Amino acid sequence: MRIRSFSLLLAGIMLILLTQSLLAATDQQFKLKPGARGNLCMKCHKPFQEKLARKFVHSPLKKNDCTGCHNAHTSNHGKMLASDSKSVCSVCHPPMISAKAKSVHKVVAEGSCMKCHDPHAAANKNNLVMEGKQLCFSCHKTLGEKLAKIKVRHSPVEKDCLVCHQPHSSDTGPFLLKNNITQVCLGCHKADKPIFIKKHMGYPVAESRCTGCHDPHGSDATGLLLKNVHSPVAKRMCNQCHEEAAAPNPLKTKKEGTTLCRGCHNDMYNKTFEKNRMHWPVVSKEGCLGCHNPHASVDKGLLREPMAKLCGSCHLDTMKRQTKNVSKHEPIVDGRCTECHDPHSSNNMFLAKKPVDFDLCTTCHDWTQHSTHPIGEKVRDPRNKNLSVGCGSCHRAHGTEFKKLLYYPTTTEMCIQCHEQLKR
Amino acid sequence: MTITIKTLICLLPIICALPAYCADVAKFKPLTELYLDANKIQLKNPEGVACGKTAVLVADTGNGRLVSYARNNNELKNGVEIKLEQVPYPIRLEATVQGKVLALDGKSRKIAFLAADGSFVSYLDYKNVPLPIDIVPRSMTVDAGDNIYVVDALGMRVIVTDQTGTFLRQFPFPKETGFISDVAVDQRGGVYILDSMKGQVYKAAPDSKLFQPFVSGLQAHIYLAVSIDTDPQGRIYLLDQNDSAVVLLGPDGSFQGRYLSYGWRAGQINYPSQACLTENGIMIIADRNNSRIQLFKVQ
Repeated sequence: MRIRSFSLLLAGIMLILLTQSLLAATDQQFKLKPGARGNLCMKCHKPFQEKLARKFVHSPLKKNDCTGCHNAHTSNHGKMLASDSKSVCSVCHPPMISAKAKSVHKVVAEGSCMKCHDPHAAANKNNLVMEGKQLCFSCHKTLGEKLAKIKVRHSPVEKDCLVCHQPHSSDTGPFLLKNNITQVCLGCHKADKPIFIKKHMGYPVAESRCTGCHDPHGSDATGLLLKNVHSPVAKRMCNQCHEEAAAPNPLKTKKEGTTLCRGCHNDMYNKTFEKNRMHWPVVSKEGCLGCHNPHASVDKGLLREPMAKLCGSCHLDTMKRQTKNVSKHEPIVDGRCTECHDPHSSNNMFLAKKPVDFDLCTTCHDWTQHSTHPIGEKVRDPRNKNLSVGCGSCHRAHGTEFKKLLYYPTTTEMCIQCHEQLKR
Repeated sequence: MTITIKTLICLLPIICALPAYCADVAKFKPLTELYLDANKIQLKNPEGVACGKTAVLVADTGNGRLVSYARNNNELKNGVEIKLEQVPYPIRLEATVQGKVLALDGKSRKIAFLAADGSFVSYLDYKNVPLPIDIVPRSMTVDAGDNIYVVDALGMRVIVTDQTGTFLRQFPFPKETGFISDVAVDQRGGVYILDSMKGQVYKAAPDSKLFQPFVSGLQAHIYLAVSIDTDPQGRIYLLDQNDSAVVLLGPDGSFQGRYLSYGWRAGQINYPSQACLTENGIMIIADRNNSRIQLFKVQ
């Protein structure tokens, strides 16, 4: 081991000496004045001396070598950098993202090293622009604000995000975690300790994903439980859905799919299945669990994800259309899909809660305040004798690329679709 | 201006290729629209259509009934109302080779056999189907031998049965699929499934038990397709419900074009939900949100 370390040291010294001798030879060739690679720069860039007084100085700068990163004469890049700001660091530093990375920090992938590191000098180790979690929260503001308000913060969060996360990329876990979710937790919370076993009602949860019930950062609830907890979980009645803890296969559910959920949610089940139009995921293999987390969730209704993200994960086309919208329909912007749609089943088109479209739209919009255009069953659409004039005759609920959710760029163009005699 | 033999020789490849090029480009010529039945009752949100040899059956979903139109070349006439308590909410239809019609009921999620006149015969009674026993049909089609192919949303597979419902074989959905909404079988026995969510078509060759990716990246041309059909030339027709169009693919899966557009007028479509092709190249579309049926000559 000692021999190996010594060899590495020797190789390092040799490399430095070789570099210096090469530089010296180049300096002679170009007849550079002494200090031309750095000291001379300071003569003009005087405020820079203040930076150099900081505790941690970037090693090239320590050696007064500005030309490692900057070109003294000309550059195609900002701040006279020798190459693009996204790649200049990688001239010396090895890649921060390995080929087998499971998760990568977005800023690293973008090559924005300077969002976290000061390229010259900083008061913090590794030239970080801020200290520890303050740096992380400068971007992850929502999390920082949430943690400032909540009652119980997970102790590692109080210390440093890097207790659980890697700063650049992770080869082993999602969310830049140092390992997979469960293994990160088990690093501190030993599953064989009596308190752990008791808290989990004797169920072997060491293989389960802890974040299905717990918020790893903090929570207002005891046990760092997520905001919304499924009633049997809150009451520690795991055996309501799962086999007994002492059973050979304790985590197996007592019944499969929707049949299990029906045991308690019978009324909802009956209401859902008595309607004409079913949301297909309800009758799919995943059943209720396609959208709901059976244990706990940050979101209301134990949704797996925020509603817009959840619905959008299948309805990609609807989300795609949203991006083109000029005028935004509020429930859509806010991700309140269930304001208009029943996520389980309906007797109406588009799984709408009320018949499309007049009844549905007037739930929020007061027609009498809108216009005096005739509307309703008795008013026929001149373009199609089987249709009556409704809100959808002029507006598309999920928006268009034109103002006021209109189908056409101008009101005139819209009107003359039916009032052809007014066309000029 | 004189055309030399040399010029003609140079232009020969282009002249020869021109008819073939023109033949590949399809045209959808609007023929007619149907708004009413024989009793002048308006269609309401029809979702299914089946092209029989002498009749076209329409699932008039919004009215909870079927309407049977007599077919004479390019014309549909009469429009006899058929109300079946066994099929209270028909959402999809498929004509069999023997002249029957398969009707999928949205409420009971059962497939019913209907006679050529639209009367109820029986429900499709599955026999010897491997687990899971419960089957949730999303769509269905038949092949040239009148075997029935059912998209099972619960079992994530396509089940093939004979006309008595006896299990013949099954094709599991590929693991990476989003949501499979329809199935089609070409004249050679190739089976196609449509992944609406991911804009992909998978194909199982006639001698294969597995689906392989056939066409991907259709998101550039499609918002949300819900219906897939093939014609005798092996071309594939996809019905883009959420952006109201027909997308045509070549037998090799190549994109051939996007036809029709969103609107309320004749020739335009509005959230179409199913289409069928007649033997003389007429596409009949259940133009759901326009509450009508439209006929197009595919040229």
